[in-house]
Amino acid sequence: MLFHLTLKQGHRSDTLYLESSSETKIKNFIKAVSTADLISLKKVVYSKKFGIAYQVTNFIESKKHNEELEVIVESKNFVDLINIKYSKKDLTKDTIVKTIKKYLLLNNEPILTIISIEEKHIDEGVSPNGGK
Amino acid sequence: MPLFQVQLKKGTKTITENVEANDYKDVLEYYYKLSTCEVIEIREWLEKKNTIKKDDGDYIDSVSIVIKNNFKDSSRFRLPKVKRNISDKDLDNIIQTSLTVENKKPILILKTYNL
Repeated sequence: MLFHLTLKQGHRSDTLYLESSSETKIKNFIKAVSTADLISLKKVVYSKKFGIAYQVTNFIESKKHNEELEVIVESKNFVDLINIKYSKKDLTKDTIVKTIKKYLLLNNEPILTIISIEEKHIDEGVSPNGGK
Repeated sequence: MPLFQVQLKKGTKTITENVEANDYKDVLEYYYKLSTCEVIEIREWLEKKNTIKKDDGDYIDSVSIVIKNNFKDSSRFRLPKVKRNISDKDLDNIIQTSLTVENKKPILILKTYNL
């Protein structure tokens, strides 16, 4: 397993990748060898650089995009703002709503309602199809 | 509550965002359907702290380390702020028991101390 760590002491942060068989071993390793605090620990679950779960695709970068969409979402008990940077230009409101509801969560709750979708900056002065 | 940090690439820009989902595959699908950015890395958050430890300067600045397994795969990293009271041998031992290279125990450890 590959882990992404951030260590901090004073103002300086250091970030490094370490491979180990468990989260506990990584924590114990840092505790034993470094005076800095482990302030963030993440497990790398997908990586192009390290070839983790990565499938080679012919990714073609589209130059047509919206700068940023601001989407206000609501679950049973919470409301939050989701920013989508460089979203696809041809998205419909329906696609945005269905995708967010299907794939994302809010404080462990399913997203039930999309309250609003707004564009922060517009490329070429055109609104997304169906955008609010 | 699975929270993922996602690294995206757009031209020469690298963007880092956090999203919550059940699985990293859902995160991939979400960006594939809505974004023009390439997803280059997804990391699952395991721990986060907001406290800052005081810097008293009592440490070895860093140790640059290269570790290799018996198949000659290698991994290199810079270990920051290393405790002064840890011996060279103890550091070797803890690297061997804690870390892996391509899922195998390291057999060769090369170190450069940056004082």
